[in-house]
Amino acid sequence: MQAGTDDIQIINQVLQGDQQSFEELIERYQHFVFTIALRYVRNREDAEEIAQDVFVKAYRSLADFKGNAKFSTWLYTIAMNTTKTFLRKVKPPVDSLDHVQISETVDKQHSGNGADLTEQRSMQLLINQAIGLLGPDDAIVITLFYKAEQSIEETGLIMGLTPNAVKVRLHRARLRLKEKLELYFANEIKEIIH
Amino acid sequence: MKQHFDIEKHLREDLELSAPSPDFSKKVMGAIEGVRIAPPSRTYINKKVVYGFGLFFLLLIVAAVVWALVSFNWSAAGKFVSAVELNKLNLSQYITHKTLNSLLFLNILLGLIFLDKYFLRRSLR
Repeated sequence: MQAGTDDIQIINQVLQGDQQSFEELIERYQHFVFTIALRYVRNREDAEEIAQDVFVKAYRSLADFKGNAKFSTWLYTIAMNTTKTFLRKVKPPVDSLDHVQISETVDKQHSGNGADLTEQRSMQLLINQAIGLLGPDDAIVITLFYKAEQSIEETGLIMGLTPNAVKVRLHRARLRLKEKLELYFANEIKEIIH
Repeated sequence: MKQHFDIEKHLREDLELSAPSPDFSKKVMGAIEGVRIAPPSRTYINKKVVYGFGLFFLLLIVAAVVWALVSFNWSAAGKFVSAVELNKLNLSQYITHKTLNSLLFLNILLGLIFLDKYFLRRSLR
């Protein structure tokens, strides 16, 4: 991810009428926004629809971005709100069912592969599959903190939580992730470590 | 695993993001083609109107307090007369068999409504 000042330069260009510059912001943040949506809806088509909606909303209200916080924090807040609105309108959360489906997928996947993957790639796969087994809020807090370079305070702003609540949620999410890894991938991790 | 596996390290190094379709940015650029950037909200939210509403409610509260203070009978202080004379209150005329049955029936009804709502919420969950 680029520095915050670069974002502000691009935003100023867009505000001055250079619409094409907005594409740079999309390129920069599309993976993050898409992942946030995907953590909740677990369906690529819906996640892409939400992500597109997020960027359109961000573009429309770009003049309201004051630069007090990072652009990414502002954008992820829009992403969270848009995803929640989508879930309220379209379908109820079906968390537990998804988890069962994902668990089945994981079982199928790791019964047949593993040996030919490199160590790093294996670990990436395991971590990301285990993240998929977590609840959306746990997956989001981990993604925002570890991948999206958001501080505890910024994560709190995005998720509408106090910094202390974020710390607690992050701690619990890590524990749950470790439990999932131990439950589903204990053998693979042992192989990678040794 | 518990001794060797550093979850912090792996989360920092191995966590990956999902990628949208390759033409995602083109799609978004297409979607914003006809969209105009809205003027900043501070330009169309008139602060004077907001302050005006605030002032109106403040005046309303102040007027109510002033009216209460002005209309209060200060000389009545110390001559407190109880509105209900407890020693003359005869509760037995109100607590009859019929009243108790009615109250019991009302409680059962409320209990049933509560149970119905509870089970409905549980089944929705």
